Amino acid sequence: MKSYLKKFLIYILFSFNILEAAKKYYRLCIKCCNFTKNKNKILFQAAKNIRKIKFVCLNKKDYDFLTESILFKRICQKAKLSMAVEETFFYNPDFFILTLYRPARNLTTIGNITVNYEDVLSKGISGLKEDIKLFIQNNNEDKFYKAMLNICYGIEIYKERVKYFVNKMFPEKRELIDCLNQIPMLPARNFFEALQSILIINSLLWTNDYPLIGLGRLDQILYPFYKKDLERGTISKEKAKFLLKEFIKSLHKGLVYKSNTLPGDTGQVIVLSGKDKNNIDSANDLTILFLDLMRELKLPDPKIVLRVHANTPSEVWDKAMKLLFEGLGYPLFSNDDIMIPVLQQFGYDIKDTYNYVVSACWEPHIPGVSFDQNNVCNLNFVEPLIKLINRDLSKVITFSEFFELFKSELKEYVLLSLQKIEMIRFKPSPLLSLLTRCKEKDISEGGAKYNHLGILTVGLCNVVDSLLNLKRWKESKKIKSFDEIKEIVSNNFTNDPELLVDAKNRGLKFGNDEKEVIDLSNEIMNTVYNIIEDKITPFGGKYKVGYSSSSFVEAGKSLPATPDGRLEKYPLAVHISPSNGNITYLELFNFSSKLNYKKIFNGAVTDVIIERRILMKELSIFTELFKTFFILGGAQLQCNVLNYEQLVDAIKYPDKYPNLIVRVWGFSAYFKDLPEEYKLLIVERAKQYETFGY
Amino acid sequence: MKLLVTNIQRFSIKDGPGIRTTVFIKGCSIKCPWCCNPENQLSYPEIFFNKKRCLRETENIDCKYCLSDISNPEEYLKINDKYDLDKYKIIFERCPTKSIGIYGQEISLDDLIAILNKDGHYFKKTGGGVTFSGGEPLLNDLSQWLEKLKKVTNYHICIESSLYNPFENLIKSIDFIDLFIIDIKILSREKAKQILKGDLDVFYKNIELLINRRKKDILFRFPVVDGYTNAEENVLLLICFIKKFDVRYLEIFSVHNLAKEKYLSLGREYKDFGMVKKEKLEKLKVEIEEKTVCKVNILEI
Repeated sequence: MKSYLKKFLIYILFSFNILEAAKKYYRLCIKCCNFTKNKNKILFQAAKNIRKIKFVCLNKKDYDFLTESILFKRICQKAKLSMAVEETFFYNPDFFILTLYRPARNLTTIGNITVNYEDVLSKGISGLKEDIKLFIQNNNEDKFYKAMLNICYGIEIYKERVKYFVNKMFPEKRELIDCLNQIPMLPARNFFEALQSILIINSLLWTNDYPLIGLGRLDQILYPFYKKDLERGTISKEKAKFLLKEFIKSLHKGLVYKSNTLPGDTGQVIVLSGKDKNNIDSANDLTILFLDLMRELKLPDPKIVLRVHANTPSEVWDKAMKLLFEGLGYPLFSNDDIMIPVLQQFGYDIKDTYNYVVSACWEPHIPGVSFDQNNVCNLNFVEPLIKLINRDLSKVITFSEFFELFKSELKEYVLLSLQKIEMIRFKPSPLLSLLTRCKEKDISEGGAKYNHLGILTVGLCNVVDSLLNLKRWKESKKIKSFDEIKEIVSNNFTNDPELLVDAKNRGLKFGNDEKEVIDLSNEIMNTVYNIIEDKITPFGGKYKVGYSSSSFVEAGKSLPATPDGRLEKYPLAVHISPSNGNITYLELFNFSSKLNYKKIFNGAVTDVIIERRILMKELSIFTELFKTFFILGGAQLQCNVLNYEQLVDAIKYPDKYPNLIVRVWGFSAYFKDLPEEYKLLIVERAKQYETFGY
Repeated sequence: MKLLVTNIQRFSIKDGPGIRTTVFIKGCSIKCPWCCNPENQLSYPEIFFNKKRCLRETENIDCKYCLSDISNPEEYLKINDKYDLDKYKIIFERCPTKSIGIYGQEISLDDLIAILNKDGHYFKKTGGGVTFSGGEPLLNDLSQWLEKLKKVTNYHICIESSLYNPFENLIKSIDFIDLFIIDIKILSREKAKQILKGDLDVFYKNIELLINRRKKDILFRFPVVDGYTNAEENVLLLICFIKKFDVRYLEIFSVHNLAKEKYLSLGREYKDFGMVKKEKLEKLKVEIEEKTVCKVNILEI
């Protein structure tokens, strides 16, 4: 039976010879099995899903944004519609629709950006179409204009189908049916329409395979509608709360299918609050409502990023800390007082910087007008270090010589990585083009206002700890020459267990607020920055670099042991966070606030774990601690609020904790859904932090 | 003047208001049998060796880092070189696990200020500052230190004392201290002599001065030890004390057994006094609150 099924599947997947579809289908099946890559399970799920699948075909030889837009139209015609009777809004991304036309060129999907929901609400899709029409003189001939028209028609078709569907199935939902006469083609007229309009567009983005799309500053975008309704008396505060709750619940749908590499990694980020150009805080009723509702719903997704600054009202802090205490892994805090000047200095328009949001994790960009792919490359600092260790080092006498060699290895590595970035080709994405104000050409060809590229980094902590250890060992003669390290590293410390313990316990560590550690960390980062500073991306943008990456587990798997005491294949350190030593929050915050964020900001997140019981007792102390951190120059902060014993128990008895949520890299996830290695890493880190500062 | 300290603990949130740095000063005037900081009892540096953490014990590795002319690290505990331990420092620095080392390091005021200043912003924001604990911090004449500290930094200064200290040390420093955390222990003259090896008259002389001059700035604490402070007679004396000095707020807590490793690593014997049960603490709280106007708060350690 099994072999028959297998043959059948292989036939289905490959008879069309359409790799893209096959890949997507395979990914979907993995997601169905909740990312546990068990072949039999995948096969079983595959068989189960076959009847859900719809194919969209196209017979055309060239492939560009025009073909992509035609495919979009087809998808809109075919996407599955469904709705439960208890739902208020229509929201149904169809993850099981496969496009059987995409040449097997290696194209990178554009994601990790925030689309312009503000435009959708204020102008409607028709308004956006008019904008482009005005811009393009000879519009009948223009290919891009045609593609945009296709997209608009597609959305209209989809909307009409939804309207017909709801009318037929739920004729009693008058408000919903009425609103579908208006949005998303025409501007939203009230709070309800605004929410539904966002949901329809969001639904279409997922259906068309655009991953990790952020939701933007929803408290700001929605507030005018909310306020107008309140003034007109057409909505009560309770009703607004109810609608917003339904909206969040809708967005939570399809968590597994939306996830990118791990369940929970959806990029559905809602950015709240923030200051305007007069330094006035922009928090409003909806900010508070969002914070309250997230606390009430206790969902890992969507997640909250809170923009804070010196004038953030205490009510917002209070609500945010209470939300944090729930242990959902959010809100992530991003410091406007650092980020906004930094973005201005980098080259974003001053007006735009006050509107900044973050990509799926932390990397700042301007919503609705950016192509900024903030994670095109992962720099792994450990790689040049290992390369250096494996060279002949017999002539290297002092540590400073060794460090100079490391820097030159690092430079070479960065240059090589830049070459790889230049090879990347992006998939045409006319829908995103429409939603990011591209007026002449597709977003994948550099049609957006901002076309910068961002580089992530991983392993800074490991390398800093390694270098500090090497320096110390050499000075205290624990090693006689740098050549000895080769053997220690390749033997995974087995011949020198004392040194392994020493590596972890002794000396200064990444996170200590000593000048030596801060300077070393900054020098390494500046080495990278100095190379990328004046480089121009293929679309004429600039390069950004930051302190964080999602690949700490994956990147570690292929690496040998490192002199910081990390063993072979073990995960690398997480963002700005110590991996060794007994470092208090104060030291870490002092250290972190002295890192160079002025130029290096593409993800600048300090990551800590707080024991839940301690936070409960000392919530006000921690609030002040965070506030002071940001005053001192901290950029971003994320916290896992956990209980170590509970985590240990949850590994043993996962069924006891179905709703236990943890923060992974820039997202929150159900603990039970995570692969074993991630669970163990979190437990290990929680143990390290259990007695933090006590 | 330099002070002999065993630990400077940043991010303390239990030793007074806000975020604080606690300085543990070596040397004590009494000897509570349940003491949880045994490393601070004697006023000279001491070698410690925590066998349980040593690689020879845990991993069965023949670690050589701490040995020079000695065959077993335990021998170091027998060294009687009270004031000349510096030569061992370099050897102990090499220990990978930090299981061997020296309790007690001299520190100057400038060094201390530099350490405090790292967290100055956090102190100001939370109303925190520096806490001198021990041992008995007032065994030293801190007046010059505190005066300068106050002048230079203006951080909130707190002292944790049991007030068995020379009267003049208190009177000289009294104006520079913002908060006094006072441990009340044994309140009968004979028992205090017998158990604490302390003179209760010294305590009373100090407390009367403090009550007269700084009553508002005292926080009384009462460690509960079964058979000692929690004995019937002592509790009655405590209630008399509360009435006499009109104490309105008292924090009580149970002794704990977290210090076992420290006792053993100093080569001393450890006696377990057992945690006091929550119900007993509650009972004590009720008893005090019924008989006096004092509000009692149970601290969790």
